[in-house]
Amino acid sequence: MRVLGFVRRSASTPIILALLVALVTIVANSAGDASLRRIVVGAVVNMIAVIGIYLFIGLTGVFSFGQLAFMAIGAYATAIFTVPVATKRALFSAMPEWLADINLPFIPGILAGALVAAVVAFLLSFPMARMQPLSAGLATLAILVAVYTVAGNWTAVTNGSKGMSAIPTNTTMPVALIAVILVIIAVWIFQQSGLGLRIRATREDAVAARAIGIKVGRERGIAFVASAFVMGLAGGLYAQLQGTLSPDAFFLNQTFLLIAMLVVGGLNSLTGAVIGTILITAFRRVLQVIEAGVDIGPLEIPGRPGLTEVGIGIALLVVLALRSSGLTRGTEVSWDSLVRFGKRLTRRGTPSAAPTAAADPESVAGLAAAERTTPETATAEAVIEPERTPGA
Amino acid sequence: MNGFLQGVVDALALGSLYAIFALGIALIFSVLKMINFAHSELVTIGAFVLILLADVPLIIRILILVVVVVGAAVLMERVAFRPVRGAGQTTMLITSFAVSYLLQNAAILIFGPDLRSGSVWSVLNESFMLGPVRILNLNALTIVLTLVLLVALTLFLRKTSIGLQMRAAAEDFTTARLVGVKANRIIAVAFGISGLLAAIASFLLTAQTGVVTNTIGVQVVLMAFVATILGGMGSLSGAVIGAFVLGAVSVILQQLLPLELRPFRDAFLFAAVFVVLVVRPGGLIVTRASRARV
Repeated sequence: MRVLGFVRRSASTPIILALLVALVTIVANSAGDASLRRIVVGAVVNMIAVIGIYLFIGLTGVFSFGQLAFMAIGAYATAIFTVPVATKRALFSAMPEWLADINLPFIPGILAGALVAAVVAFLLSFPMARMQPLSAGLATLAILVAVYTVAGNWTAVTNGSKGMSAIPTNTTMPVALIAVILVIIAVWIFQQSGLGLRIRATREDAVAARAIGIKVGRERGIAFVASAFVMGLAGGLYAQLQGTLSPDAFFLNQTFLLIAMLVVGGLNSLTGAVIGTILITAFRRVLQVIEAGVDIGPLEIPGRPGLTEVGIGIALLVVLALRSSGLTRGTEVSWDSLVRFGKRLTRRGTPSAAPTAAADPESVAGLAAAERTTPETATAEAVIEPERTPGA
Repeated sequence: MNGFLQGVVDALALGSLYAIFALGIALIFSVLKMINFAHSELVTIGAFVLILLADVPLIIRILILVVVVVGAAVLMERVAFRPVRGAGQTTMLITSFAVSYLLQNAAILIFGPDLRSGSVWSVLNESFMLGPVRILNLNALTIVLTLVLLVALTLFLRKTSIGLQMRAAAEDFTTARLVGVKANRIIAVAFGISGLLAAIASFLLTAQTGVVTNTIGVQVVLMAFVATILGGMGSLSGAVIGAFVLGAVSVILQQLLPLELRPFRDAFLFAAVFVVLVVRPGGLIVTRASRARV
């Protein structure tokens, strides 16, 4: 019974999210043909990247446009580590000897790639920690441009704008699914830990957090490095999914897509990252089909390039204008929240209860607040709340 | 020596172009505390106007350019930014990113993905000699226009009532509103001016490239972002100084870097900016309003 209680209180979120992701992936995977299956695996890799972005932006509240730079680093590093030595000699003749001689199997290769990304982030985190949040957000844009420029021109290592090819393709559906579930569990443990709590406290109110002895810059730096590791992991899986790499895959357009996923779901929750990815991926797929041109009965809609991107842009703007904290409003799904949601649905079903539901102060905002109050966050809120009022 | 003078002129011209971009961004930031990504799309809209109307007489084209771009800037504020104004900096930042992405792709949807070319004003591509230095007419125009704009903007901010209100709003918006500054009006005016700056910027940029694509504004606006961080977020003079420093460093790197390292110029540039920010995290000029409490 004690185990069940623990699961309900503290571990239900990652379990629900993992089940949801597994269910959606397996259903989409069995419903479609080979090309759709490839898209599904790509979407799972995207989800890992979105969670990686969440790990920094969502937990610290500091905005970053540059997290994809670490995905690029992870992808290129993994590619260099895992392409067979003979192939590297043949295809990338300019590559330095010692680099061409490295050859790692799939999983060590991906982990090593993620580690490279994390090391770069670690070095960058020191100047980052000194900057104000908004400057830091723009500085990450500088990182993105710098990495893009290097990836596009450093022919000896990245093969320049021609990109890498002949990367072994080991990222299959089960591999990607296991990876995303492990990431969800790891990120959940991270954000519920004392460290995660301190990081989230700096997001809620940096002044108050510092007043209770939290080193704001250091905690942000840790989140930055952790995020870069997850981004690097996503990059490595991406490289091993596509088999080829080009710098354009990690620039502004892809940054926008992944940020749109996170924001639509809700910037400040892991649930938001997962749900946003699923929704935007599905929405994007529909738009892509329309963009290619469809016939609905007698109605012929011609293909229009650009339609998908415009549609996603509008969707994001609408969410920002109507519900700027995203669909989840920064709350995590949990066993209790699902039960409450179910009760609300059944209550709404009976006519006599309808007026009470409308007058219920707990309706939308109240529910959101209630869901957020897992025991741990409750403590954080209690600490920060009194400080926030005079500060505002 | 001549090479040096030539370099100085090049640096001034590039810095001036960056400055016109950076001013538009810094102006919006000072009032609204929002980094306007969509500034580059205002420039793109202007470039499309100039290229698509290549047969229209220049004066009329410039008039249409100014009306369309200023109109687009004010409309953008009204439709996209006003609804999220109270929702916090991150939301506004993402909104401007979304508007930028939306307009970029709307351009593909409307005009197709191919680039279009056209001449803006052929006189600008000729050059003249000033002593030993050859100066492109376009560069001369860029430098002169920037000087005129700087003087005009300074006079506007210091001598007019609405300029004073704008400075008050930049200092502390809440207090400014308490003493009767109308928020909607100030913000609309700020967007109008940034639209004017974008129109001028698109004229200079299109005259230089002679082509327009849906991302023509992005590259320079990225530089302008860096210039505004370098100068200190929210400070107009900082943005201008940052732009000229960035222009100078670009030209110096272009001259001094060995040939095989030149493609990496931007990477070096951004690395240099990073170093500056480590030494002076708030940028070169720190405004009172932007000073953090942590």
